Amino acid sequence: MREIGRFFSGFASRNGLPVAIYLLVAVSIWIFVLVVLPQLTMFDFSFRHNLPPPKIGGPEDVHTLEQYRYFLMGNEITGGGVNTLDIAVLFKTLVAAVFVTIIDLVICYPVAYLLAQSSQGSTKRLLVLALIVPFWVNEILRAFAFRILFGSTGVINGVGMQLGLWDAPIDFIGENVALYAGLAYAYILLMIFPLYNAIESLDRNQIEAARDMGASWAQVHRRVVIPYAKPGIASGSTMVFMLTAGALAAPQILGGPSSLWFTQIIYQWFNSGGNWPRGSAYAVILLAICIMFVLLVMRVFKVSIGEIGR
Amino acid sequence: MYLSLRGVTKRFDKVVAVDNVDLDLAEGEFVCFLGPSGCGKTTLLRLVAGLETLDAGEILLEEKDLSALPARKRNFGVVFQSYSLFPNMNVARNIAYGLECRKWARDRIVARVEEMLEVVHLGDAVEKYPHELSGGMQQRVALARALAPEPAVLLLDEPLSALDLKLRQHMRRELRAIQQQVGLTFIYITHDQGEALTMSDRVAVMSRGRIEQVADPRTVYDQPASGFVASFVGENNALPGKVLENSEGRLVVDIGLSAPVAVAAGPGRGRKLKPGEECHVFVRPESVSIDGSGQTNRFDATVMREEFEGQVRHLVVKSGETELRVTQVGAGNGASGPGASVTISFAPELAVPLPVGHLASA
Repeated sequence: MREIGRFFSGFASRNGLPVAIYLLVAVSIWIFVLVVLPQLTMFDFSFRHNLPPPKIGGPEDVHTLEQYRYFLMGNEITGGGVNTLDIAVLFKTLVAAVFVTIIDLVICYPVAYLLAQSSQGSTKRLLVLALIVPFWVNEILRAFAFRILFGSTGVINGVGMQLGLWDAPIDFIGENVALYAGLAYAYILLMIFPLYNAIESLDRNQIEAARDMGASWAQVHRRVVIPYAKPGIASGSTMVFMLTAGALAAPQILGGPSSLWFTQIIYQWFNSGGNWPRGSAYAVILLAICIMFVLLVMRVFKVSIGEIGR
Repeated sequence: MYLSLRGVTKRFDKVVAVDNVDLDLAEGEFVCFLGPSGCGKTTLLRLVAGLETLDAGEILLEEKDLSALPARKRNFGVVFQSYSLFPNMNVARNIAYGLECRKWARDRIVARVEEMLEVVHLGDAVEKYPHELSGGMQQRVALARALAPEPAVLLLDEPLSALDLKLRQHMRRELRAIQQQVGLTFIYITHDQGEALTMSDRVAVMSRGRIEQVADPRTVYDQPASGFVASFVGENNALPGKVLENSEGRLVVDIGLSAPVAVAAGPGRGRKLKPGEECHVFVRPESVSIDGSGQTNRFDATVMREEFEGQVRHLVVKSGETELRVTQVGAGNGASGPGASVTISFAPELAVPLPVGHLASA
C-alpha cells in the first residue's frame, strides 16, 4: 500500500495532479467496478438458493452450499450418488483446453522464433500484419467459416476426396477436429506475442555462441532459447488455457453433437435453466479449478508468478 | 599454413563488407584485426566462424576447405563482445556446454571444466550465475567456455571493449598469457590500437573491407604501408606535399614550409615516388623536437596551443601555413606557452613518405 502511495505521489509530481487523479480513478473503476464487484456478486450468488423473485430477501433467502453440493452429488432427479456427468464434462473441458494449448504452443513457437530472430524491418511488419488482420473478422463469423470449411461437403473434404486421399466424407465436426482447430486458431495471437516478446530480447550472440560450440539445432532450442523464453511460454500458455477452458461460442458452433463443454452447462443454468445461483457456482468452480491447475503446472515447470508479468 | 584465408569476400546487398582478403596464420599465432568500426573486421570474423556464408573465396584449416561447413562443425571458439553467457546456467554449466554438445564423457567434462576454471582464475565462482558476476569475471567465463572444447582457433570479437580502462589493461596481459599458455591460434578483432599493439604477434590493419597492412606491431607503427595505416595507428602529422627529387634513398619534398624537407626513402616507403608527384609525408608528434637540437629539417615555428597531460605535453605549432602536432615527454625542453617561438626539427628517417591515399578520419 505504501508503495502504491509513493508511486502515486511520484507520478503526480511528474505528470501533474489532474493526470494522476484521472489515472487513479480510471484504474480504481476498472478494478473495483468492472472486475471485483461483478465477481463478488457472482460469488455471493453461488451460495444462495434459486428462489422465485417474491421470496428474494425473504426468510428463505439464506446462504447455502446447495449449489456446490449439486455439482458434486447431483440430486434425486439425476439419480443420487456422485454427479459423474458434470464432473466428467469439467474434466474433459480441462483436457481439451490443455490439448488446444499444446497445439498452439507447437504452432506458435516456430512462428514467434522466426519473427523474433530471423526477419527484420519491413518483412517483420508485414508478417505481424498478416497475423493480426485475419482477427478483424469477428469470432462468430470465423467459427461459422470453420464449420463450412470442415463440413461434410466443405472445402477440406472436397479437396481430400478429389485427390483420392479418402473416399467418404470425414466427419470433422463430429470428431471435434473443427472445434480444436477453431479454438487453436482463435487464441493463436495470445500465444505468439508473449513468445515473440520473450524470444526477441534474447541476445542473438547466445544462439551463435551455442552453434559455435557445436550445439545442434535442437540443442540450441532446448538448452538456450526455450529456457530463456520460459516466462513467455508460461504467460502465453496460461492465457490460451484460461480462454479456451472458458470459451463458449466456438464449442456452441463447432462442437460435434456429442460434445459438451463445461461453459455450455454454465450457460444452460443461466439461460434456459433459469438457475443463476447454480450457474454462478459452476462458473466459480471452473475458475477455481483452472487457477489451481495453472498454479500446479507452473509449480511443476518451476515458473514463478512474477516471471509471467515480465 | 595453419589457417588460410584466400580471396575472402562478403557483400551485403550492394555493399562489399569484406573485399578479397588474403591472409595466412601460423599455428599458435596471435593476430589482431585492427580497424575503425564499419571496416569489415567483425564480418570477417563471422565468416571465419561460419556465422556468415562466403560470397567468394575460401577458408582453409590445415589445407582443408571449411567454406561449406556450418559453424558447429568447424570447431572454432568465439568470444563475443557482449559475453553472451547463458543466463539460466551457472558458471560450470556454461563452460561445460560445448563439451556436452560434443558428447564428452561425464568425468572428462568435470576435469576439463576444472582445468578451464584454473586457467581463467575463477575457481571460487563455479556455482555462480552470470548475473552475479562482474563484467571482467563474465568475460573470463566466456573465454573459458570458448576454450573448453579445445577449438582449433579462438576468435575474439572486441572482448574487452565493455570493461573499464584498468581492467582492460590487466586483461590484455592476462589474455596474452593465456594464449601463450594454451598455445592456441587467436584471431582478435579490435578498434583499439593499444590492444592490437600490445598483445599480437601480427596486426592486420583493415579499412573499407580490405587489409591495408599485415605486420608485427613495431613495423605497423614505424613503417606504415599506406596513408590509412599511418593515420589510423597512433598519432601522425599527415603533411601533403609534392616530390621534388628522388635519389639514392632520399626524397626531397615540398610540404609548404619555408624550405623543402628531406625524407629517407626505402622499400615500401616512397621509393617509387617520382619527381612532380603528389604525396603525404607522415611525421609522428613524438618525432618532432622543439628544442632546436636537430640538424635537419629545421624550421622556425610558433606555439599555437598547449595541452598538459601529466606524462606528456601536446603542442600544436605553426610554421608558415603548416600546423604540426608535437608531443613532448615530461616538462620537455624549450619554450612553452602559446605564442612562444621555437625551432622545430625532425630526422629524415623518422618521416615516412607515402603515395596519396585515403586517410583515417579523425
